[in-house]
Formats: sequence, C-alpha cells, structure tokens
Amino acid sequence: MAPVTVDTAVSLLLTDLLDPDGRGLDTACLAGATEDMKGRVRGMPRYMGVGMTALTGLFLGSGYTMLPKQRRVRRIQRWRTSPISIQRDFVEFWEKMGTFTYWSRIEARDHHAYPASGPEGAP
Amino acid sequence: MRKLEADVLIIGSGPGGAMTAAVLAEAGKHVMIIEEGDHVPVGATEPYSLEDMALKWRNGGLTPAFGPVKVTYVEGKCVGGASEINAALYHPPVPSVLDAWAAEYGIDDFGGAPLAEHIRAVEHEASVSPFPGSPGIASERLAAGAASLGWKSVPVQRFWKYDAQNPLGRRQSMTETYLPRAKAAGAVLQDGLKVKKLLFQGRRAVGAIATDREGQRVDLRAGKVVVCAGAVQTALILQRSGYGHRVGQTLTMNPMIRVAAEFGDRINEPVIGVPVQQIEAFKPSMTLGCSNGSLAHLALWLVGAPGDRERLLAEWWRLGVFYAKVMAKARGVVRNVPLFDEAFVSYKLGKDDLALLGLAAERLATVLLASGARSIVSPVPGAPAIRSLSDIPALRAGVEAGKAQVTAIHLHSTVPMGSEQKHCPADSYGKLRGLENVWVNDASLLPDTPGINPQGTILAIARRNAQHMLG
Repeated sequence: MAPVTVDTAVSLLLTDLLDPDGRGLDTACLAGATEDMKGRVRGMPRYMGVGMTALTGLFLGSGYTMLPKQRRVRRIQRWRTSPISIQRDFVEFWEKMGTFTYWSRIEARDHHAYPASGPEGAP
Repeated sequence: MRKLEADVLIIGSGPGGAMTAAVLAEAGKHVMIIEEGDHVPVGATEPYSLEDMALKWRNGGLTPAFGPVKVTYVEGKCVGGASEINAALYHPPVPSVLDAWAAEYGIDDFGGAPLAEHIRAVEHEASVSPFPGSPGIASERLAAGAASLGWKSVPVQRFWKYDAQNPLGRRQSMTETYLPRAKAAGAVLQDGLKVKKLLFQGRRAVGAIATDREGQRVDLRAGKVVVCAGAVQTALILQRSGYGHRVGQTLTMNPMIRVAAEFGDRINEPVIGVPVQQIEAFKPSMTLGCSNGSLAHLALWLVGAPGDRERLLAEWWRLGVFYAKVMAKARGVVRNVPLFDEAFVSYKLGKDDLALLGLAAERLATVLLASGARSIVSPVPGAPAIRSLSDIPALRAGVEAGKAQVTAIHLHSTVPMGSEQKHCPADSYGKLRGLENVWVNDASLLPDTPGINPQGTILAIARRNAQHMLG
C-alpha cells in the first residue's frame, strides 16, 4: 500500500468537508485548493500556524485516511459540534477556507470573475 | 549590513504614510518610505481574489482577533497599504464626530471646521468621484428597498478616476496618487523591508533596524521618524522599541456581519465591482450596504447553507452579498508575541455592541426582503434561512447572543492623539510624548472609531499633521 502523503490527507479532508454526500468535485480545482490551503497555513501568523499544523496532524493522524467516507464525515461532525472550542475552530477554518479556495479555483477555471456578461443562460 | 539614510524616515506606505511623504517631500525634505510588503500595481490582480490576498493582504487574508465572540480582521501588507485592498469607498469625515473627539480628547485646533480645508484637498487630489451612470442592479434594488421603508440611501463616492478611454475607471489608491507625488518630489520608497524597532539616543530616535526579504539586517538612519504602519503594526513597532504609554491598549474596529441573499432574477454584476449603494439613515452608528459578490465570496457566505450551496451557486447571478456594519464601543488590545514578533489581538464585543449588531442584522434582513430577496442565509451557523419578516427576530437574537460570524475592517485608535495625557500617547498633532522627534500619522491616531470607512478621515488628518511638522 502506498504511503499516505500530506497532499492526499489534506485533499481527503477538503473532499469530506466540501462534498460530504460524495456528489463529486472537480479534480484539478481540488488539487489547486489543496495546494492553496497548505499555503494558507504557512501564511498564518507563525504562533498560530504551529498550532494549526499540530491540530491538523492530530486530526488526520490516528487513521483518518484509512476510514470509510461515512466514518470520516462523522468524525468531522463530532469535531464541528465538540464542546472543545479549538476542535470547532479547526473544522470552521478548514471548511470556510477550503470552500473559498476551491471556489476561487472554479471561478478562475470558468472565468466567472468580472466577465463582460453572465454565463450562458444568465438573464 | 546595508545602511540607508534620510532626513525623514516614514515607516509604512498606506494612506497615512503616503500623504506624509508627499507633503514633506514636496516641502523639500529628503524622505525615505519603508514598506514591509511588495509593490503590486493596480489592476495586476483581481480584487478580493486568492492571488490578491496572497500578494497584498497580511497573512494572506483574514486574521483572528481573540475574544468571547470571534472576530476576524484584515490588514493590507503591500505598497499603498489598505488603500490597495479596500473597496475604495469614500465617506467624508462626519463633522459632529470630529468635534466630539476634539472636546473629549482635548485635540487642539481640530474638528469639523479646522479639518474642512484638508478634506476638500483630499477629495480633489485623490479624485473622489461618483459612479458614472447607473450604479447597477444591486444598488438599485437596495435603494428601492430602502425607499419603501423610508430609509435614506445613497450611492457612495469612490477614490476613482474615470475617463472616456476607460469608462470603468481606475482605483485611485496610494500607488496612483500620493506615492507618485512623493517620489516625483524626491522621496525614496524601499519595499520588502520590515522594521523591527526604532533606535534611540536618549529621547531622540536616530533611526530603526529593519530586515529585508532574505532576513538580512538593514540599518535606517534619520533625523525624524514618522510611524505610519497601520493601527496594529504601528503599535507593535512602538512596543518592540520599548515605548510604553498605553500604546496598543485602545484598539477600535468596525465590526460587521455579512449575508448572502438570493433574489428571483439577476442581482450580481461582477463587472461593476463592489456595488456602491449604502443605507445611511442610521449613520454613523450603523451602515448597511453591498459587498463583494464574486463566486468564491458567495461560496464562503453560503457555508451556513451547505445543502443548498451547489444549487444556489449554479445561478450565482441571482445572489448578492450584503453587510451591516456598526460603530462599536469595544476596545481591543494589541500585543507583540515574543520570539515571533507578530501581533496578538484581543477584542471583546460588549453586550451593547452585540445588541447594536443584532439591530443592524434585523434592519439588513428587513431591507433585503423589501428589496425582493427570496431568502437570506443567516450569519448564525446552522440557523435556518430568513424568508419572511417572521424569521427576523430569531436572526436578531442569534446575533445578540454572539453566535454570528463577525468580521471587522477599519482598525484604529492604538495611539490616540490629544492633549489628554492619561489616554493619549500622541499629542494633538501625532508627536509621541516623551520623545523629541517621533510622530505617528495613520489610523492609530484616531481616538475612536469614526463609524464610517476611515480612509478620507485618515488622509485629511495626516495632511494636517504633516503640514504641522513642517512648522
């Protein structure tokens, strides 16, 4: 079995957060968002980045990537509703920033940003 | 080790620093402007895009302030500072607010009337202009909704220049206005240099220590130092330099909530940029208006409605993002984190502030429904969408309980000016108490939040203070 890379683990986390029902995400945009998210953690104030890296390691460690999707989504939900605020904050950060980075990639792909007119079908 | 010298060292190239540099350089001073970030020309990036944030925003985007209610804030980190990343909206300083500051903080020769000539100069020099023609669908809808409720709304002017060749115009940020003027008068701008601390001999500053992009030390020498690095970074530089006097203890912000709203037909026209209509019926304590509605930002504000997100985003032109911003009484604290040399900001929204934010949320939802919105995604995570007036009390209660996502822009007041020595580290013209040749001339000086977008106020005050430095 191939070793799980950081990219694979982060990509899996984003997939579970953005697409919990498994409807499908754009592979290239997901890969771009994965890269962007690693950059965002690196770009945090260092005293926060250290904590976020440790927390991400804690979450993704302990076999997360080996779990079936349903159980991974349940683990996210447990952290999302946890009484421990740092766990809720962790999910909030990855969900919000993951959403923003993924849809930024979609926007760039589809040239949604500042088009001369709307897409086909737009009034 | 590299050494740089000038008559006047200006730390920071945002509105305060750029204005100070232009005034002093044009008066014949040898000025050196030091900027931590990079130069990114206007138009080189899509506003509010990921690339824009990576290149021009500190920490690549939002930074959290810590407190019982989480508040995230933004700072510019590029040549031109916040003027390069904001919506370029211009709000004239409110005379009654300026007069109140003059009285409460004992600011000499200050207030609506004394500042009027500087305000007029800024409006002229920075090309403050109305949006030509129709302000767009979102603005028109908001205006109609407000009118139906009897609330005054206006299309806000912008720091923007329009001409026949470019009807969409061009942002008039610092890199387009005061920085070129300063450079034409001989000022030197060094980007990519982070100032660590000021150097003193007794009560006089002799310069500063900085590091370049490679981490190499650069020594800066000057006869006068003006710190204009923004409310957070100015406080940090002074703290790291050993200057006490309550610097960084009285931070103010303009907290806001944002919501995505769904309409029956087109509301979103990205070509317009941030729609300019704002409801001013409750100004300055509260402003309601339109926000950036790019696809990525729409997705972000739809996080609370995950089940609907894909369906809604498929017809993004029917979605808009709107905000309600309030003038909070809360005061935050800026501290330097030892070893990391980074800011730790704490900010505690009080009960009164949350009540005001709850009222603002209620009014925003009311006007959006009156403007034709079918549904509004609640800023309270997990709360149901607002589809009718009967849903609004729950929204207001959630915001008042501190459950909403709150962001903040417009940071000020970490080095308030005034003759009231106990609370004001800077005198009435920005000179630091106890030092012979160090001034602050940026948003830090505002003794309280002006409630409105402060760029016009900062520029006018910086012009006044820079002229005073010349004697």
